[in-house]
Amino acid sequence: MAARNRILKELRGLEKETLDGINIELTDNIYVLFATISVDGNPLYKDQVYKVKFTITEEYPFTPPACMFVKDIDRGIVSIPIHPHIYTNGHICLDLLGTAWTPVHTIRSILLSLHSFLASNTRSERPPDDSSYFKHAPKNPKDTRFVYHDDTV
Amino acid sequence: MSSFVPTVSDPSDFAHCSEPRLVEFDSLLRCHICKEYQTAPVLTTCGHSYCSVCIRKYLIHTAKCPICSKEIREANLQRNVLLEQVVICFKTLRDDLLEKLTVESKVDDRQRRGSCEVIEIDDNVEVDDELEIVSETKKRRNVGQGGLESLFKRKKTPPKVGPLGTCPICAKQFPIRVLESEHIDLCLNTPLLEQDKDSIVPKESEHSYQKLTKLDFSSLSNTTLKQKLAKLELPTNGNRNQLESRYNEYLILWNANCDSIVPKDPKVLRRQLAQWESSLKFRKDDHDRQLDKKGWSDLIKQARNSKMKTREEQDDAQVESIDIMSTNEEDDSNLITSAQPQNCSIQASTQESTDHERVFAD
Repeated sequence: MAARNRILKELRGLEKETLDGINIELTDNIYVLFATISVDGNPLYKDQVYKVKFTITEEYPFTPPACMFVKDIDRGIVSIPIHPHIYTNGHICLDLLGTAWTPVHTIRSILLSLHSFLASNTRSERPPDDSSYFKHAPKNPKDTRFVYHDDTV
Repeated sequence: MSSFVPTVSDPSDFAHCSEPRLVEFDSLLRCHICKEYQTAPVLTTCGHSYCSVCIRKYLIHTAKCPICSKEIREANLQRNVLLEQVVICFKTLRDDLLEKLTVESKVDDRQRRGSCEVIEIDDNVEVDDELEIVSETKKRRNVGQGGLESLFKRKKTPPKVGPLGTCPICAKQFPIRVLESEHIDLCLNTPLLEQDKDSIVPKESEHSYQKLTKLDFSSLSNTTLKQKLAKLELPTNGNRNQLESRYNEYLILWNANCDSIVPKDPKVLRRQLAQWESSLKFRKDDHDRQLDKKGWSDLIKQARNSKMKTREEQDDAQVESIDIMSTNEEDDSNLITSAQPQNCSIQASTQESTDHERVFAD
């Protein structure tokens, strides 16, 4: 119940105060939601729309939501942003989604850091271990123990 | 989106009233963990404040302050009495405040529109005062910078004051015109904040609730544990695990309640405990069902796809292939095994899929 109430409040806040370049899309399950992100300020991602999926558990906000980039072929979202911390399968290596999560953070703060994550990126490349990770990655990004070694991006 | 999100109170309620800075004030009074107004707030050693229940539950996960990540202990949490009084006070006033500020902002809007469309004095303008303002603006525009504020002031205290009268409710003096037209209504609708402060903010009540202590379950027999639960008037059914987690949850609810200046009756706490327990059961069922339906078939699909891919690669190299179109269960199990991570550079815990594999092998 606690998780549900908090999600509702967050959604309401997001609905009333929208974020630039970010649109929230709800599903009929309150524990699953999508957001589209567009970063026009960065030439790497210009004119592109990316989609993020959040899967929230009952333990929220004590544990972070599972968050990854997804494709939505029907809507023309066919790519996962190319970024040194984003894998081909959409998994994101971001400490906020793992060890650095605390209940103070919100869906909004994740979206904001994803947005700046993309906006500040200058390297058009995948993580160095992308191909091996892609083959063996668990379905849920939260089952991966990422090592957050790069603070520069 | 709006159709889906039901009405819950949230700081952004103030965003569109005439004092949007209240958004910040509202959010300051809320707990960072549950985003509700703080209930029985407690202060950490690093000076941050949370609902007693929330921080106690979080400290089981991580013994750090969610805001500043300093190490904190449950034993060092202190009641934050003043904050609780402030929260209760604001909660009581909130609806009225919101209503009043929203109504005022509508009036403001109308005034602003009136002063912008200087020439158009239409029949829709209802009140005499506003007609005056419109014409005032017109004159002042011609002169130069009129200053909207002075106009508004003018509206609130018209130059021709007239005789003063005493409000029968708050005993203050106002021009009779103001008194009759707006003040009495306002005064009747205002909670008696100025007259009787004590009626909103509860005083610290002296209750006799003693905090419960953590139990060392390893040294307790089932019977003694059940006795302890029975003493607290809690149910004693279920297995050992359920008994222990029931006690622990109640411990948190109870101790958090002790931090409040207006503690709830133990009955209420027991009801909360029952709700928690039933939500737990529902969650477990739900989880099982999801695994059965979705997780399982997805897993098979995933395994097939990845097998298909590796097979295509291997075909060129003329490596021995398995008949992937086969749908019988033995092959599926092979496929899943082959889809397991073998030498992954990143440690991936694939507990879930290995579980499935095991089930399948059985």
